[in-house]
Amino acid sequence: MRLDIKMLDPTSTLNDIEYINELEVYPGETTTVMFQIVNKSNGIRYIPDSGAIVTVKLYSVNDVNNITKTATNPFVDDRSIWSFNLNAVETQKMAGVNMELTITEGTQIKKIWAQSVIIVYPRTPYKA
Amino acid sequence: MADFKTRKRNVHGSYPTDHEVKPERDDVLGSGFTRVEPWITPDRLKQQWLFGIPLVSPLTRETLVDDTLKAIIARAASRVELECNIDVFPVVRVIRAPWDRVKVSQGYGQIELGVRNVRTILEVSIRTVDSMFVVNNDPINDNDESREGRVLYNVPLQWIDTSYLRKGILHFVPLLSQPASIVLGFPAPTLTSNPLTLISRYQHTMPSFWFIRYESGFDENSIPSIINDLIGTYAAIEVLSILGPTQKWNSMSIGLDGASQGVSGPGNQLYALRVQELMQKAENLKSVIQSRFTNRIVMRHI
Repeated sequence: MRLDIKMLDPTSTLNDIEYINELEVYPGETTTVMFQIVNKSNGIRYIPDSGAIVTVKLYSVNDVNNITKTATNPFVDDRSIWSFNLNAVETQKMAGVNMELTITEGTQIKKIWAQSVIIVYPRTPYKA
Repeated sequence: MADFKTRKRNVHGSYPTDHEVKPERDDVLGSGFTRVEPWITPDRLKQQWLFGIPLVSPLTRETLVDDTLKAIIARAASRVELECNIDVFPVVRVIRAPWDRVKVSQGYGQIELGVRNVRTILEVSIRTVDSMFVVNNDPINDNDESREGRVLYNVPLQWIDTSYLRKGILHFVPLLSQPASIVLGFPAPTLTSNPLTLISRYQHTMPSFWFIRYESGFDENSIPSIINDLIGTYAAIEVLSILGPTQKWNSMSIGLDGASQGVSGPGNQLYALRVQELMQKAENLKSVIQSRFTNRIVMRHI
């Protein structure tokens, strides 16, 4: 079974989740990244074991700007949905586009490469 | 990857702040208006390059989903990188360049880095060639210090001229009180001097002498609009060439007693004209990008 994620609008609630293609982030703002883990073959949600640990890595060409986050369940009644927060410093330095997820369920480790899920805008519109 | 703790920027800046000293500080603004964009999303591709095109196969009723469009966009970007010889995303590269006595003594040690639009020099050093290798599955020299060869000499970045980095070229300009033929502050040559000095005095060429680590490409999250345009154009060509053959019918007619109706259309040539236009546009864009960011024609002396 291969896993994937579907990005969610961070304002989603348990009974009103809104799927989005990608999260758009402006540098310097605070934001929440929310996603649902799904079975890639049939698109049905995947619920990790209780006690599972989900870590997320966002890579940059500059090692100093790599970001590693531990996601949590925003809704206790749906363990397929995970989220983490990004502060202003992190959104200022992050590179975005892809995310690497590691799901640790006891001794089982599952990996997900989510492509083009976070779109970060240029740091300022006036220079590059 | 690299940590960028030691670095020297391209003094000419990078697009769009060319010909300005590129400030390290983020609060200093450069050019006057936006010439860069974020990465293309499937929605933008549909709106800006595929407006009005139904992404549905009339034969199977399958929809070209957004995940497929993401993959097509990523492939289009790879194609742009290879065809235009630029890095769309920033990349840290390493090159081992040969020692060339003529270039050092007469050309300020000019080294061609292989990729244009270089943004930052991270390391210029002389390293041994005994980089990490494996004997009976046992890695040798497998530590941070020696994985890429041991550092014999780290050239101070003050001596590196970055004014030609946009063309993928660096020079050594120590600007010392001594002539430049006294290479790079090595110890004064004597009979007992170290191997580096002997090499610099007696060897005309030596492969893999210089070790250079550099960053090329554009700022993270800041892709020049014209390059995004080429990526979107290539992606649109790909999508239309997928959709074209799904248009099965050139003509259809139905007759019932005395009444009949006939419909004819371009069939699987439906998008051929659009693809042709996009291919012409791609050629024009590629030409502009190559002349602006890389070289269209490369001429070398020996």
